[in-house]
Amino acid sequence: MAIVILRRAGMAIPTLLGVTLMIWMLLSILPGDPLVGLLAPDATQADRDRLAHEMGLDRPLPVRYVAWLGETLTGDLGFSPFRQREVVELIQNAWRNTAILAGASAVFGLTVGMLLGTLAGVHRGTPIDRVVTGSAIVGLSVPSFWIAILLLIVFSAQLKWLPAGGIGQLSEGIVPFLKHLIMPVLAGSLTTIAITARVTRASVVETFQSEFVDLLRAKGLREWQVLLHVGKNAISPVLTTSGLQVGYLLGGSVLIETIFSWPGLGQLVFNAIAQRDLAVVQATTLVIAVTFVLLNLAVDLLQATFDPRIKRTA
Amino acid sequence: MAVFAGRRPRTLPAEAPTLEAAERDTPLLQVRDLVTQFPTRNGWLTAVNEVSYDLHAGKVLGILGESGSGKSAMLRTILGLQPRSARISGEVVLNGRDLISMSARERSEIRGSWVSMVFQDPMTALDPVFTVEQQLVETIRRHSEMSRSEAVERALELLTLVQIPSPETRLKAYPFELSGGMRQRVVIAMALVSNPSLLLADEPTTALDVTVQARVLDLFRDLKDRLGMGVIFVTHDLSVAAEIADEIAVMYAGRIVEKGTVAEIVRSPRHPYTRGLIEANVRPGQSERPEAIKGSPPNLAALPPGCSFAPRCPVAEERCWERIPDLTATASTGATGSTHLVRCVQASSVLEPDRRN
Repeated sequence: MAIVILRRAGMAIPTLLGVTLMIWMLLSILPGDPLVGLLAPDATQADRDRLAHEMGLDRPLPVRYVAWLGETLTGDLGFSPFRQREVVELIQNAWRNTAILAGASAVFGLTVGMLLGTLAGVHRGTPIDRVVTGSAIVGLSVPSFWIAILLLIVFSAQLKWLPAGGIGQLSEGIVPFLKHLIMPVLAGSLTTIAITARVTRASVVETFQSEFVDLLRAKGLREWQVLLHVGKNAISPVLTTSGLQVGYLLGGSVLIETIFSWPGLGQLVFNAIAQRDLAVVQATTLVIAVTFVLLNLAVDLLQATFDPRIKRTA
Repeated sequence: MAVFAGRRPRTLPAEAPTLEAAERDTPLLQVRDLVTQFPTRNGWLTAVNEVSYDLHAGKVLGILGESGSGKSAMLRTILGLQPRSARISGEVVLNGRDLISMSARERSEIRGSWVSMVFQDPMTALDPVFTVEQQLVETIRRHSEMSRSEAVERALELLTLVQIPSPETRLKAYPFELSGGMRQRVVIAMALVSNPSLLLADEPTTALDVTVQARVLDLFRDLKDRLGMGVIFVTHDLSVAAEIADEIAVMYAGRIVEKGTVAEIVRSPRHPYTRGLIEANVRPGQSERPEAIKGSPPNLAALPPGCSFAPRCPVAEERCWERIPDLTATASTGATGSTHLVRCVQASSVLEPDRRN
């Protein structure tokens, strides 16, 4: 097992380096002048050169990349001139808030998705299966922001059961904290539920057709015991998509966070792009990408614990 | 008769007829008019068609036929593994109890304890993500009151019984770490967990190398003699059937077309299909190519009105196309009392027994 961990972790390092290079290049080479927003409208070319020099923008690209990478590795993500704060500080809070939302959405979405998918797979071809499969298609087709707005109208504006936005602090008690979570989680995890249900169903159906299932039944095992065997065999593709799903929840939450005024990475990067706040955009993208790579590393390792063939042949 | 509800002890209860002298003449298994049908878009497809036979304890019945002849479907019907959509009728009486009329619950109690099955392909028959030990122990504990450690002990015993070298190591192995022959032995061990009185073997040697095949066949013979079970051994290979079986039933298009002792089937086959099967084998000293049966296996959904083999039969005549012949005793029924049955209108007239030695 230790070998598997080392191998997979070793594979993650070049991926991460590539990610940093891509992110840095995209934002450094893309057209658009980061200085425009900072300079006064009547600034002279001399003012401009001075600011560029201060920010290190006059140096050659490779030098700038290495310098940036070095700073990043030491935990210095730069300074946001627009907000007059260290980027690390901004990211820390936003990352925590996003992690709460994405984590809750992932746990909820993956659990419900797997349960529904298994239910449909076990009862393949029955009305249960058709209802689940049909709902999954609807869940995939309906945009999450539309659901979010619908939820807001019903539960916040009409029924006044749930707060319309913002994040609840745990210090104020668990109930308001959860109340703030419910709608963003429901709206955000809809796609996850739908995709996970579909993948789970397909995998369960396929596994049920394996010959070893016949042998399990021939041995006289009870149906729930058979289902345990099928589950452990069917989980691999579900785990693979789960890693991607959680990544999507982390990075793709811009809309949900904006609608529910959730102070997370999505909102941060949304505002930073509008302001051409290069340091924040770079750092946020980087944090999301790194989290994504690490999550999928974790998924790979989790898969190895479910499938001995990965563990012993690696 | 024993009530099957609840857990059963490891060994068969005393009332199991294999042990009682008074009941020695009662067959272990009586199959009567067994029919298995599957729904298709064009109506019901009959995979097993009015199959009847007896099997005594300690005997091996070989079922011979090509793929699609209904031999595997028949085993699955006996075991109760057919999908719920299948239509099944007839009787399968094992140890005096009819399995077909049993509830699904009772049948799952009997599966793995009174009747077990060995599958064709050991590469796919075992669950790839559980160890041999886990898969054996769960089976043992399903059919007994044993504790975990007792069950592990029993698992070791079983691996030794099926002659797996260094069983302690194999117990901890995953199926992918074992060779094909080794896996098949594990599957056999799993089938023997509760000393079943009936073992169903679905082409258990077909997927193995020839040398491994011979050793697994030896194991089957040895186990049958030692444990005294009745075995139904399905194969498409005449030489395998001749080697292991006491009696052979030849199946074609879901029906038994000929049944007799190994000697009767091999030396004096009466049905044109059986003769075709034998012609298709290479005999020692034969120089010319063996002759294959013309045509291809029948479409079960569109069988001719008469004899199913008529379209491929070299001696078919008009009456063969009219009605399905009965399975009747041949004139040459041996002195041993065993009945040589054949389903062919020409068996006694046109086809003279072909004495081959």
